[in-house]
Amino acid sequence: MQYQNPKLPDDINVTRSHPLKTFVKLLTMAAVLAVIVILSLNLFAQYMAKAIPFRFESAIMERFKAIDGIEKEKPSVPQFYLQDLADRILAQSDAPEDMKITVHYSDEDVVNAFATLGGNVFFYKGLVQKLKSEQALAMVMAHEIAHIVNRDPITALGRGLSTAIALSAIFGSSDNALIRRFVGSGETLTSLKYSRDHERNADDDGYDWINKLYGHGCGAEELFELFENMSTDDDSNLPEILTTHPYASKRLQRIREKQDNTCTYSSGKITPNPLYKD
Amino acid sequence: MYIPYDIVAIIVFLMLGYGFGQLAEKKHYRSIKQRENQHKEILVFSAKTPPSDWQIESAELVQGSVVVSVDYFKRFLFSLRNIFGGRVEAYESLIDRGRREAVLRMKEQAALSSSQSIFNVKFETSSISRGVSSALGSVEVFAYGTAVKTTPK
Repeated sequence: MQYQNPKLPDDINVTRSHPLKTFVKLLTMAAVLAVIVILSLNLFAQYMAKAIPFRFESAIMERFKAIDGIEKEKPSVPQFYLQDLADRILAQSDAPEDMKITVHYSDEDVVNAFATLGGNVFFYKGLVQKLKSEQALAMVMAHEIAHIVNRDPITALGRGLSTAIALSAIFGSSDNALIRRFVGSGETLTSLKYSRDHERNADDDGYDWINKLYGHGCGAEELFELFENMSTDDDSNLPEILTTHPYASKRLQRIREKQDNTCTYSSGKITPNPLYKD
Repeated sequence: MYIPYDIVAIIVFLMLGYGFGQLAEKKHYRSIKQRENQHKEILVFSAKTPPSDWQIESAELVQGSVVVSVDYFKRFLFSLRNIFGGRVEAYESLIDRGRREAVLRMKEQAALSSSQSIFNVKFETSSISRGVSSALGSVEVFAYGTAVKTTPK
């Protein structure tokens, strides 16, 4: 009997399909999957957040009070003033009965203010002392209250948690940090888009309320002028798609479009901010 | 101008992995085919013993072992496959190269003793990066058998 070794065929054990083709196909499938998961969970979170009673939010925040030392806060003149401003603005809004705004005032020089769960709004001395008019300060306050009335903090929390859990369940098991990095970027970009939408809506609603409160919206533009002057070179180099807020210039433009021409001669309409410091 | 450096790094690594990986694979296959042709006279059997009518002059254990690593690109493909399932083409060629190379090394050892055939050929494959999540996957393929030298009748 004659024995011989056969010549090994090339295409049976090894697929000769082009690796780049597989790469593109799989990457597209992963991208589509990630987009579907992110978008559907975002919509779901948006819908569900509105269904969570406001008192649940307050209950969550109660737990953090001890940690953050909020309970030790001493009442101060700026805080009383800001709280009164908040209550007046809230009365102009269509907030539900049980919604309360609690203003916190911090003696730090940070130029910032923010709203968080449970109707808590934080103001920093740095921002409060920079604004010349009460209307500009009211614009900040109305913007933050609008976040709370629109349930933005709880929506962002629910959206962030649910997408993070879902994506790590799908993509986290693959032992490759690479995919997670790509998917993570998609998640971040989406949340930033929602964040910018929230900011825009908060600007719009806030402006409407101070318009009702004072009978005009003059002075609100001062806030965005301040932001525009403050935006450093680094910030403006960041494309808008990577920012939490729309560009200050766009926000200013949007407010100016809403204001009527009478604001040009508005000196009589503007109330000075008693907390302003040169 | 904002540049997402980590993503740029990943893309560069992918391109490098793809470029060098494909180059290395093509080169390896060329070498495998050329050497398979060179050693085609040494016969490989999975049967345990040679036919009873063969005149055996000597027999010895021969072995060939090879370790191959995946490249960055293949690993990326593999992690995508982990999500959707299906044939992991990127790793098939890796294992194929490993097995054929191990057989060739075994044959090269048999050629040293002028054996004409190898019986009872067996393979062992093991992952040597298992459990190390940060390591690139490497695989060891080990082939062994009994090389037999026959006297011409």
